[in-house]
Amino acid sequence: MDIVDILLVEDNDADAEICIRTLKKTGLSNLIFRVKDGLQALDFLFATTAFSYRKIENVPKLIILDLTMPNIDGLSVLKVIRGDDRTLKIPVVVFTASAEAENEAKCRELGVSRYIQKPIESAEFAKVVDEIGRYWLSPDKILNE
Amino acid sequence: MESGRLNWFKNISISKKLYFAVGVMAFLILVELATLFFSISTLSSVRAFVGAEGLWSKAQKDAIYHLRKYTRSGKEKDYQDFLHFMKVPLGDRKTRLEMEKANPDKEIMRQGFIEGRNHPDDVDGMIQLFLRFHSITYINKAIRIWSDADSTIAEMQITAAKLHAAIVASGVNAAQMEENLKHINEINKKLTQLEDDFSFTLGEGSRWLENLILKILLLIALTVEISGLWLSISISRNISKGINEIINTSKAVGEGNFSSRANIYSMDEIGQLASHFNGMIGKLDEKIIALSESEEKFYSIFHSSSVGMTISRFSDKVILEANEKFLSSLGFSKEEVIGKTSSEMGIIANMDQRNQVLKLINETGKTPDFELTFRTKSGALMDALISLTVMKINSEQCVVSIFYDITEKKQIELALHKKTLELASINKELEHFAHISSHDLQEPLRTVSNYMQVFEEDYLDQLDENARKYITSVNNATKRMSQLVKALLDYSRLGRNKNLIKISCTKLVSDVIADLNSTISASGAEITVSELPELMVYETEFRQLFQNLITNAIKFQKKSNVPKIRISAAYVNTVWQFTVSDNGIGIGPNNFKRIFDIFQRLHANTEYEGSGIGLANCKKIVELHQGEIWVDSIFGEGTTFTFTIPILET
Repeated sequence: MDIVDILLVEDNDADAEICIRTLKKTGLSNLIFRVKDGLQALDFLFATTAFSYRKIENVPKLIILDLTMPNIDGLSVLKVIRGDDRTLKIPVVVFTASAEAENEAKCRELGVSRYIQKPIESAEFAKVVDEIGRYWLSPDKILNE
Repeated sequence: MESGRLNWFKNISISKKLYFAVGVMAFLILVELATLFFSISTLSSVRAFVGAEGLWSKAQKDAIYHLRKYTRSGKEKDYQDFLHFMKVPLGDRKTRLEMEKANPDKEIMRQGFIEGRNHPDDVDGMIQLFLRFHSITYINKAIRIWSDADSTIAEMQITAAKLHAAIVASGVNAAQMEENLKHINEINKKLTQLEDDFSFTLGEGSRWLENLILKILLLIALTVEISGLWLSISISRNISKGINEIINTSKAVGEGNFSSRANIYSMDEIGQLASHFNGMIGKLDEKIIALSESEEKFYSIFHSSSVGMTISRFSDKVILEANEKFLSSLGFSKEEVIGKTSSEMGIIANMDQRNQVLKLINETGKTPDFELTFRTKSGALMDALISLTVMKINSEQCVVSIFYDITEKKQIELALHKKTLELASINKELEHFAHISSHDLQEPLRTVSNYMQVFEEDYLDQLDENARKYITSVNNATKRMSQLVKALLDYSRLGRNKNLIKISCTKLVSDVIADLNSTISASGAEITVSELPELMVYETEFRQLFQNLITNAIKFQKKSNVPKIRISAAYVNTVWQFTVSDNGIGIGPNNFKRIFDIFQRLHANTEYEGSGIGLANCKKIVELHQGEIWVDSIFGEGTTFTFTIPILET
């Protein structure tokens, strides 16, 4: 549990389920960890409270971040990780139901790699997640970074 | 008859009248001069006659003297002298005899007179005198005397001839000589008597003629005087009569009698002046009548007007007149208003407003519509729209004020404004609701959809045929619902980011056609686009508008038909009017309105698929641009969508 490829920050179980299934189906990575809100995400990344057993240096290769979440929302999480040198460089894909232009603009300002709107319908949803995985976890991509 | 002749004279111009008068005088003076010339020449002839008579008498006396001398001397020379002197009376006699003929030969007469030793210059005048006046009593008598004298002269000639014969035969005889001398004396006596008579008669004639000429001259002078005087008096009387008529009429008009007119006595310049003057008064009269009528109308409108009106004096703004509506609006009686200013009455709620109005009226003479708050007699406040104009009424500078009570109007306006705000707020809430709800609906829908996916993946092989059918139905329903929610969300988002920019509609439409390339080529649609304007629009929405309309035009087609779409624009009544026409299946008139409602579909999803929100979007987009959209269609033949876009400012 210490080393993960993808940190999935998603409060909706159904969405999380499809995300994990789809990403695993691509066969690129099985190392996916899902947290249910922003607070857990920050604990995980900075190895605090429940995740104090982790090493901070073991940053995930990609964070898939929902915006609308209980406790701490996605935007706040973004602000914190972009404000800390240790997490500054982690690519973040925002994956949200929100189509608010305002939200997207704020996220872009905070240097997110992609801003993707969740499709409502499951087939479409799976397709988008598949694309995220293929792109961000492809060996070429990793080499480039 | 006389008036006819006078009329002719009256109607010629004054200058012609003056020429006429001067002409008459000149003619009369010429007549007088001619008369004078005639008189002078006649009198000169009379003088010549008297002279002739003198010559005649002298010659006769000389002849007698020589005859007497001959009688005594018997010398031939004396007889010859006698004969010599006798030539004068004989010459004159020759003239007289010729004159007494029916057709006298002037040359013979002239010769006679010359022989009578008359001066040649006088001869013609003497002949004229004879010929002209021989029938006048005096001349006639003088001629008779002359004739008598001539017979005596003849007697003397015979006597002389006998004497000559006797002397030549027998010489002078003393006894005979006495006898002869006696006879000669008798003849001489007789002739002297005749000569006296002749001179006397001629003198009488001359006096008569002088008298006559004097009378004629006097008469002519009198005629000249009288006619000159008459002409001057009549002309000047005519002139002064006409002028006095105009003066009197103008005096009457000056005193306000506009119905009086100047009599026209002639058609000369004065008559024309009077006629023009009358025309002028007539026009003035008409104007004054019109003016008084318009004044009457003004007062009638003033008093019966349904808006409040007052007339106040410009100098001190004291109210001179107020109409019923003004009084009833403010609750005053007429007596409480007349003679006071509005501030004295206390009807002005805000003195600053009054001062502003007064400043405007003093500077420009009128005000535009101005909102002013009044206080009625009971103390209630009244909003009024007033407008003031300075005008002359009864030759006094006045201010006409018009009051229009807008209290009620303002209340209605206020209520309307409130309602509009409420409506806008409700509308906004509704939009917000649509947005939030569509947004919030997404999550559970997505959850259902995703779990169905998971369910299918994990348990499909454990399910029977029926269960699988149900799952397919659930999936279809979810899919459909997700479409609806997405459409609703799009609809609610329209115009969220308002940003008007100038775009070329031609380019925009060609971009849309390019975007729809696959759909268009699949259907084989032919699209013609005429020239479109450059306009200020919300670009994203405007693009969607055309996209929806073109898509619809392709979609709602009979299977075998090749879609033909025409897009054009025209500037009509300050707005751009766009049309998108097709040759599709058409719409029944009962659905012309319905198609623009949200989620209204005329066809089953299996026939023509869609969310049913496309035209609702179009309507919202057009309304966002403050335009209108409508449809015309013949069922089965084609449809034309028309929408208007006004010229918008950023």
